[in-house]
Amino acid sequence: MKSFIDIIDLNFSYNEDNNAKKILNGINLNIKKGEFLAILGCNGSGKSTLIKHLNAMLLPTKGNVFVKGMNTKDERKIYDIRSTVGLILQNPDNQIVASIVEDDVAFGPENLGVAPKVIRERVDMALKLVDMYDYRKSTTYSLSGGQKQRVAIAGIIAMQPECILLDEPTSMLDPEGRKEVLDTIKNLNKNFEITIVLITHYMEEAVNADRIAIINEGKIVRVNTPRAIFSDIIFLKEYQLSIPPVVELIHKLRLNGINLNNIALDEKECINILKNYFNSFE
Amino acid sequence: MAKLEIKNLTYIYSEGTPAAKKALNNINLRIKQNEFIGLIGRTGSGKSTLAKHLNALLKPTEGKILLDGEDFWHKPKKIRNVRFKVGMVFQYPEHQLFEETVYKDIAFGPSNMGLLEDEIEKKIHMACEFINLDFNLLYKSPFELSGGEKRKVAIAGVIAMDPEILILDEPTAGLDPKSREQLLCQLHYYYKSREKTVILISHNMDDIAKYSDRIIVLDDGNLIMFDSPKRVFSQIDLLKSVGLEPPQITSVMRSLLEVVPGLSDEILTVDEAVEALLNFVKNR
Ligand SMILES: Nc1ncnc2c1ncn2[C@@H]1O[C@H](COP(=O)(O)OP(=O)(O)OP(=O)(O)O)[C@@H](O)[C@H]1O
Ligand SMILES: Nc1ncnc2c1ncn2[C@@H]1O[C@H](COP(=O)(O)OP(=O)(O)O)[C@@H](O)[C@H]1O
Ligand SMILES: [Mg+2]
Ligand SMILES: [Mg+2]
Repeated sequence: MKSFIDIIDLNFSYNEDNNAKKILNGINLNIKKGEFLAILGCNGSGKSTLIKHLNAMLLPTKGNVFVKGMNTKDERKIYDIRSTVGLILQNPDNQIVASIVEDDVAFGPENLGVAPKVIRERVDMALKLVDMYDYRKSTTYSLSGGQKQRVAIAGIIAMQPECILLDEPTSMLDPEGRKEVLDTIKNLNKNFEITIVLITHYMEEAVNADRIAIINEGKIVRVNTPRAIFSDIIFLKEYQLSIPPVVELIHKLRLNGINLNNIALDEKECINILKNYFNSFE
Repeated sequence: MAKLEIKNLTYIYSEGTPAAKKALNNINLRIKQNEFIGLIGRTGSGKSTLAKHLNALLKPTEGKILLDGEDFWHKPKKIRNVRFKVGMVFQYPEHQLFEETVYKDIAFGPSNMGLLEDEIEKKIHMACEFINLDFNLLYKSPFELSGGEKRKVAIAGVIAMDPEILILDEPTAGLDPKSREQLLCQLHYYYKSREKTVILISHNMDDIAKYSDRIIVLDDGNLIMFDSPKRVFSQIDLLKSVGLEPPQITSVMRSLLEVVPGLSDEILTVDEAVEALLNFVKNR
């Protein structure tokens, strides 16, 4: 079966000349339809550069990227590719174009030439999906960061993409805003089968993905489930990824001879594992 | 004498207009030299507004701020000196990059202070080491950097001025875990070994708990607490009422109280938690 997105031997430099630094160095990766993929890696490792190849904002120096079988180098397909794969960036302020929430969401489909009546339906649907429908008449500048990001996501959804790329969408938000955006992403993925590619530095966000890809100096060094990745403490240390406190707690208790079988990926799991252990203790 | 003293500070944005907004309400604080201060509060609580006062970017509506006992605004002409002594890394510092090379960008602050070229170069190298910024990036355009690299350049520009008081407004956003940890360690070292004062604004309670001597908690412009991490984070109900959560480990330990009686409510770190749980197992 063909994947949704195929990245084949992708190489990329920002400069033309031959000995320019290779930012991406032979990336091979398949992204399946409907999956939630998280990308982790150090500053400057090439994450943003990679994700920009998935909607033809950048083109490979060598190798190919296919979106639903369409080569991103095929200029006639750019329009189809960009309406299949939408991109959300880090700074909420840079992505809002209109001063009223519903106008902002309508902007994308208007540019696509969608009929006004259909636009109305799509805007309402998109705003409901991100739970911002009650704010449809509000001014965009009065929203919190998390609300702005959700409006930006609604703007992408109104164009009915099959996949949304998000480049650190929460890094400028407070914990509340981060949770709102993450819940929105999970909802789109689970209930509307939208493929998600999320770049993040927050491990507690990455654990929600189906798979995590780890990139280092322009190469993919591992792709696996969160549970497998976070079980391998040595690997995490080698690639300087942080170990979430709850993972570390269970790990250190085990090292000290406490007999725990599972690893915890989040606070709830951690509490359950420890409660079970100490309950059966008497 | 306090290094920095804040007396009856009130600040109102757009005073006298219908949009007037009281962002700080009668704040009183005394910060010592060589303290590491955490500043926390939900979005809109007034953290950035307070920080901007300490760097003399905002002038109090009421009250005053004293640096080494001297009122900031007593001699408005000397305000520039305050800004050399109190360095500030803004919330979205990468928006302030504007020079054609990274080198020039970092040199901007020290040049304004009137330092000589070779001193500036030394400061720049020191700042790059501080923040773990690859020297090869110094001659690139700041616009050709990754998000995290831009942030590092912006922080380096303030470090290069070697301020007595360093204020950082959510500096770790967008940094990878290793760079984040390294920045925090360096800040800690700056404060410990050079007897500086550091004020860190962050939403990451683990970081705040780990590094702060004392923590300022703001809510809706009011000072709610100013105390040690253990005291602040054991007040879980008060924290929740102002929209804050304790460090993750503290919540986990609290949930375990029903099965592990007697656990302290002042556990903040993984190592403290491991020790407490192992003790319980041993003494049972
Ligand atoms: N427009 C550009 N011109 C030249 N070099 C660039 C450009 N954009 C990025 N680079 C370089 O390419 C490398 C990878 O950058 P990229 O933005 O993909 O990193 P990233 O993994 O997204 O990092 P971060 O976590 O900091 O966002 C970096 O070393 C960066 O300096
Ligand atoms: N330039 C401004 N004009 C008017 N109100 C502002 C301005 N900046 C901040 N505020 C308001 O002041 C309050 C405190 O904001 P801020 O200091 O930015 O909080 P924090 O940094 O804790 O998120 C908020 O209600 C905010 O909306
Ligand atoms: Mg990036
Ligand atoms: Mg702020």
